[in-house]
Amino acid sequence: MTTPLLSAKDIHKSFGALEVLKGISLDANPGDVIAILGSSGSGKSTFLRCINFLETPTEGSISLGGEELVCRRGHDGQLHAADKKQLKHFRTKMGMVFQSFNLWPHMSALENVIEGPIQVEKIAKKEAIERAEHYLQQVGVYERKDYMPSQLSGGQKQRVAIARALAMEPELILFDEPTSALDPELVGEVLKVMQKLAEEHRTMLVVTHEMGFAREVSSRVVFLEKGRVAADGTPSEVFDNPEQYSARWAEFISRARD
Amino acid sequence: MDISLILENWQLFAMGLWNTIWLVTVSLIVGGLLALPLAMSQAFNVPIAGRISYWFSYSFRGTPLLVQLYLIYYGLGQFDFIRESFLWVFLKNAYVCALIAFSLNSAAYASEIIRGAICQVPKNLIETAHAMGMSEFQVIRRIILPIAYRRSIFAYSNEVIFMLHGSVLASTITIIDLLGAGRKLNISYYVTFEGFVTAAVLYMAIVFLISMGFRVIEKKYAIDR
Repeated sequence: MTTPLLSAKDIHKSFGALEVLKGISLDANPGDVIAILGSSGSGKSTFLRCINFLETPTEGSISLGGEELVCRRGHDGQLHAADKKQLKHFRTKMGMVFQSFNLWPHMSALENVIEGPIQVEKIAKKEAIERAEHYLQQVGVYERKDYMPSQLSGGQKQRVAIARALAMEPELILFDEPTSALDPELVGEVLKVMQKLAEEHRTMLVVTHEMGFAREVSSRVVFLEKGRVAADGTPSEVFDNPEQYSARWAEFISRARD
Repeated sequence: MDISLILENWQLFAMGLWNTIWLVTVSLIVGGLLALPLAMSQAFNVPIAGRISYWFSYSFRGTPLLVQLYLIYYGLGQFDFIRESFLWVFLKNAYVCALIAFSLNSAAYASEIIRGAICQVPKNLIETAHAMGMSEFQVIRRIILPIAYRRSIFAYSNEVIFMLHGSVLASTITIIDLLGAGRKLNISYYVTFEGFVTAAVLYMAIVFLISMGFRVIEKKYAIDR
């Protein structure tokens, strides 16, 4: 058995008395496109945020390429990265795309994309610009590279945000509901870019409500329910025989079909 | 209105204008430089420094500028040890006292503007930088401060205008600033209007230039909320 690229083991997360994640384990192999589904409150975003420690888990461990992130329990009872350098190293290998795009408003599209490579990877500006232009081209917003975020549409913003994540040349990209804040007519352009990335065999974890994407693009579907994995399998497995997995999952997809 | 009287005394107004402009400019620069560490120590809850900054801006925003000016100009001279120290060379000078009062006052107001802007930088923008592997220091320098500065521009333009108007208090401690020049003209020639009207027109002209300047800056740097 090969070592998985990402291995999340038994992740628990509590906010005070509320336990949001009740032990979720997930391995991702290189090239996997894993769609994480679930109704709101199921913990899917929290789980994704625990992977790069934007949210500190209460229990569990995260490994990347076989290397485990060393944790220490903080005064708040949560696990914190013990070594800032290691955390930074982990984070540079995991790109993240957010629901609300989060482009830095004081920087142009291009400046948003070169920021990480220059500041974090310390590469030369010229090289960073070449790299950024390449990825902006790939997501189809090269013509808008000198625009400020306020001058871009939602779909363009999200594509710049994807280019920004790609420019760090991560081994894994985390998508946190990347199309949920978009106008319906703009969802397609972002999904198309993500599909292209999937075809390049990039490893992606995608928290989404887009059932079409989960079914057609992803290689694996994970359904979370009340902080636990309620279904896990290939799209054809989980979509064709939903009853085998859980009643909630069957109900979830039947409602999505309506 | 005797326009020729004003024109004959143009040198008096030129001196007043110059004194007002440099006093305000230097105070704003010194105040601005002090404001950043004051704002940051409070916004990032730095132990001790944050408390000092809090009390500093509380006292300077809590008392009138005129009182601050009097305390520095008249008050400090009451202490023998100050009059006997080397500091007295500076503190007996009205200009130095005005500069100290104006700078500290401006620092207090500007620091509150920047502190507020720092605290209002959206958390998700900071989080995005962290998710990319940026260090705490890089996030402050590259993301938080540039956004906070840009969001402070509008409020700070008001502070600059208030500082200009506040600077008339310099004329109460013997300095011939713009208002001082107007008053001197009135007294010298036994007139009531000419001096004050000229001063008012010149103040308005400065405010006009300040507003224009900030409009250019805003157009270039301001960001949507």
